[in-house]
Amino acid sequence: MTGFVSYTLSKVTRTIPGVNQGLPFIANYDRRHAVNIAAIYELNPQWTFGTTFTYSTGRPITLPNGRYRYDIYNVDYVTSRNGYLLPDFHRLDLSATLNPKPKHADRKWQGQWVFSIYNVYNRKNPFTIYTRTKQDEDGNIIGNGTEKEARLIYLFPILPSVTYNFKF
Amino acid sequence: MKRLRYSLLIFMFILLGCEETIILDIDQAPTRVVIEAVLTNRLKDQYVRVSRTADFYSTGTPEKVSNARVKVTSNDGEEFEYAQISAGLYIPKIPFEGEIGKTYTLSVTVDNIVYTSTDELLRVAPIDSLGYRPFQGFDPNQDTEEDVYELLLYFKEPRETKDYYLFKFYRNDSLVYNTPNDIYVTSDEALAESINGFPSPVTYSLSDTARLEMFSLSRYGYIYYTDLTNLLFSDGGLFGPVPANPRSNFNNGALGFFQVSAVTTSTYILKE
Repeated sequence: MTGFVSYTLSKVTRTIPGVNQGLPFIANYDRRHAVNIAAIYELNPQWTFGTTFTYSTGRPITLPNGRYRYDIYNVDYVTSRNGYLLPDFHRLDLSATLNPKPKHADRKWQGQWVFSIYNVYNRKNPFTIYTRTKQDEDGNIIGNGTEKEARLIYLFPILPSVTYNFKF
Repeated sequence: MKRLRYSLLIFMFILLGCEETIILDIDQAPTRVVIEAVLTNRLKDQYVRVSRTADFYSTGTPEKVSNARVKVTSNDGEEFEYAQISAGLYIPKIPFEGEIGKTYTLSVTVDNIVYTSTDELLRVAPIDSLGYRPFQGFDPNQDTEEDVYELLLYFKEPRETKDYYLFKFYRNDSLVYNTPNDIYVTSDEALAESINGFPSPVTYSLSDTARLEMFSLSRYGYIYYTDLTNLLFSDGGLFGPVPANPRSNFNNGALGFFQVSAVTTSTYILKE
């Protein structure tokens, strides 16, 4: 078995006049903690198994923590810049690689099968959050139009895949 | 256009991924006073609305403030006292018209804190005429088969001053918007000297009565309304500006804006 484990601790803040009333705020790309693990295990010349795991602190975002009415608009009142962290990001991937013994010993090409699963436990890693008037799946407003809700957008769910390669 | 680009990007990601409603777990902000005030050169337009911010997950209209003292003064010493006519809504005790070229100061006293704001009443170019033509674009909000038309605006934009405009469209005496969060403002940097047939963002049918009101804005008004538009259409800061509270022209931390404008209006009936 071979592999590696890494951990990174970092912090980035910015202070820009005119932004966030001139006060320091954490940068959009700040990731306080980051962990990366990879491992490969060769069972026999035909089968090799691998896994990767990644974890990082959630992305900073500016979200509403209040609301008010101006004219006909229901307006969000937002926190100071990047005052909220999205939930943490973590993901586990597994793979199995098969190098089958060639049927004829003098065959010139070598085939290979790779079976993998991306995001094995199907985590809904947040991509972003936005707010809108409370409504149902078809866009019909729920309630009297004054209520708001937060919507989470997440990208790739569990993705199994099969790949065939051959070398010649 | 900006809104279309951001919605397209968000739409692409929604195709790739999924969305669900979640409950935000954030400490709510302490309440702030919100003041919405308009002063124009027309007799019946003057009003001030005072309310407070509410928690993000609250329902209903946020609390209105009923015991505020509201007063407007002009730079040449005139004073106008306001009185409450319904919860949180204040109008001048004696109706008055704003005058072009004067500067007005609004002061609202709530819980012993005085919030003031000052803005100048700038002139607005008059509307030459209105016209109409069949709708030229693609409107996903349009779901009827009948012919739709867009209103066309003709006016001469003065080149020697920096002007900012706010537009309000009426169809048969009701305000209309293309989408619910629309605010129609523009700076004269986006306009030519002669506006010949600038199309409306809203559509009309034949025999509708269309009315357009054009308000002058100061640069602060333009900044406030564009900040507000960015906030209303925010996608969380991913592809657009990070959401931020609009820059108000009040001191002491009041939200909202004191809009001082000259108005010009024109009505057009769409005939066959």
